[in-house]
Amino acid sequence: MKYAMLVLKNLMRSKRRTMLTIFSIAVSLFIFSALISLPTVANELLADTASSVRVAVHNEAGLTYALPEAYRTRIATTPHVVAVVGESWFGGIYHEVSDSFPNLAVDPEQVEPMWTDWDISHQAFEQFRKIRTAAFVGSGTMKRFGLHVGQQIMLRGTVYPINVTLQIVGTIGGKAPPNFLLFRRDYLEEALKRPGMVSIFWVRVDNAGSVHKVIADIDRQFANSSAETQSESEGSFMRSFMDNYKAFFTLAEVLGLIVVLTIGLVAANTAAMSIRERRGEIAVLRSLGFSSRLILGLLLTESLLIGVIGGVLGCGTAFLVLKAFSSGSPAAGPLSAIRMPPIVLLETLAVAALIGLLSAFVPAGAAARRSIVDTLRAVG
Amino acid sequence: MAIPLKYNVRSLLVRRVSTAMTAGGIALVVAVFVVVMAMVAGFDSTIRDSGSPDNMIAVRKGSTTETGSAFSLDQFEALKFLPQIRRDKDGQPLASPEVPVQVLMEKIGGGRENIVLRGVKPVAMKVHDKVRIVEGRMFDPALNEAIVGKALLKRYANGTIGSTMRLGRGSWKVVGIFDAAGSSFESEVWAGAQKVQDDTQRGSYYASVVMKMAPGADSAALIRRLADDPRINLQGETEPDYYRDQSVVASQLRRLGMLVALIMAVGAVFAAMNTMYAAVAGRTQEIGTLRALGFSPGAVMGSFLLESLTLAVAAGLIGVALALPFNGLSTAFGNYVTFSTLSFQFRVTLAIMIQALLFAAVMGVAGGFLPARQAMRLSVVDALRRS
Repeated sequence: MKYAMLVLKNLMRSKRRTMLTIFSIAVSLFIFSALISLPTVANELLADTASSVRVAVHNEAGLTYALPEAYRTRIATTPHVVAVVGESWFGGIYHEVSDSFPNLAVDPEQVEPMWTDWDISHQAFEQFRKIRTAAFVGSGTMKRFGLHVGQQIMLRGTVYPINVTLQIVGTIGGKAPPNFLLFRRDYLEEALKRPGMVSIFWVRVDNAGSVHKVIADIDRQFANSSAETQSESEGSFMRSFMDNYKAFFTLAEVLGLIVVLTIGLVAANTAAMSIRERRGEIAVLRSLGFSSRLILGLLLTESLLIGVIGGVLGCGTAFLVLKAFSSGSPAAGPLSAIRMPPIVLLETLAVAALIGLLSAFVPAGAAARRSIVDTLRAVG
Repeated sequence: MAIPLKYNVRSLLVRRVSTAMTAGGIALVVAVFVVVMAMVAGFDSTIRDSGSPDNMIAVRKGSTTETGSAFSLDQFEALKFLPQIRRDKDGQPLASPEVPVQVLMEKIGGGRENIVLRGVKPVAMKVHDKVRIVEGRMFDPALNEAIVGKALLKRYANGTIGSTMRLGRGSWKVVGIFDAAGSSFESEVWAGAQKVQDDTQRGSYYASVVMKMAPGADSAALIRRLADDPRINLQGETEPDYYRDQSVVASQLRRLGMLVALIMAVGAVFAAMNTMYAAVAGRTQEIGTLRALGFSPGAVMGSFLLESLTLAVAAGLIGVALALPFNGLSTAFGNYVTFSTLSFQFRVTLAIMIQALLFAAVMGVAGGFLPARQAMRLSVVDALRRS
């Protein structure tokens, strides 16, 4: 600790350089942490569904092919099935195409036992069963458009030639995707005057162990019918959606890596510069009896401090910015669901510390080992 | 009189390691810029190239994409003889009713992905003038036959001529491969309109109609007619307009890429400033000598700015060179406007390269300005005295 003043004094010696280095590390780690938040959030969502007891049943031909509504009762009688909810894609838009969010119509009866993990109160579920135009809205979408429970909103159909007017009765929270809107399928069917078709049946099974058995049972039941089914666990269903964006996630990760490389170069350069200028002093310290190891330690501490301060500034700002983004502005578009998971904060700080240590390692090592006599003579 | 550029180049070479590290940082920023822009350009042009300026597309009113549209055969019959629509030499109107549906297609190496299966009539080949069969033959609309877009072959299984694919509920025999000048149609499978309607079990309907406009036809008048005629009642748009809306994903990506590159550039500018400040500090005596020789303060400042600019532009060239191997690389991703997978290639265009070099130059000037001004302000006597 008694060397703390020495390290601080050295950092303050060239204030401008220290500030510039800290800022460039901060700026780079800001973008790094924001970039890797994207794939990390996606992976966390997938990990959450791994233990899910829900199964998605859709037409084997693809999601645009419907299934007959009558399948519901047949699925419900399959052993281990606890609840079945039919779901249809509505694809309505609230204001404009560019600010759209997923909206779906679901059978109201068994929504409560199906999504117990969505933090919806019993009263809200009750209202959803009572009010024909009821809707649940994801917390992200609520914030983004400044909506509140009790409000009426209208969605303009793009897939179907109708508009629906809905009354918000509850907020979807918990582990649900934050941007969904759910309303009642009986209301949609009535508006369409074309009852009977469903895009997906969500099936809840009694425990995670019976997921595979139920999947096989359901698909066997409808094999060789005019609408064959493909059942998937919730995790694999989500994964097939996310795979669409895989290239995007890979890009974010690669960019993140390049950012770290770039900042590594920058930091190494500054560390080398600042140590080179101090060769004479280092030789003097050593001739006074400071060991090479102590000097190496002091130089590394200095550089570590620069890295960590930059890291804290960078990911702190990114955390706040993402928080501001996800809590509102429609300008964020599809990124509105992004947030920074704690693991990313830790990763960024670790990267910051590594940048600090590694960047100074070579020049500091060289300076600490250099022959005292030569150095003192060269400096004169 | 200006200080010769040679002085700057040699100064940069004296501090080899430091110069290389600073240049490396800038080069990586430039490379990121080029790669992201090349990806966006490829994605964007793949969508936009799908349109022809003299084509009009009509969908059900209120629909934003053709995959979310449906209308009756009568509506098509009512529009196809409109005077604004071009006729072929047999007098047949060049109006192509289409039924695009999303189906799952098996990938090479497992898994399935959404692609578009487009039901068309033979007239489609005349309306979409970029589409031509490069191998095999056209499908027979009376049979479950299909032709496959060239871009699908690398990514999906069973696309070759003679094989049978399962798409939707049915099986389709591949009889031809088509090229569409790099546009998004190359990520589609085309088959007979009626066969596709049968497959979806949604009855007889079309989702869109693409019309080739007669030379000199007024597109605004045609759009009004399509909307106002009660027998037609459709929403028309020229293809370039329609496909521009489909590529909102590209413009969002472009904005994101710019933002990332810009923030990285701020970091790189700080780094360049550090290097240039060190250069000025290390060469105080030289600056004094130059001034004593009669070079003006402006010449000194110009010289240091030029040095920073040289460093940045050289780094920019390296960055562009680093990014060049990405040119032509194919990839694919989901367009969440159409919910189907689009295969496309990175395109490093000349415009992107020029922008990248300008970007590098701006970084150089921004990083060099303050240190250069400091060099200019040194007093001759002080500079010479300091050792």
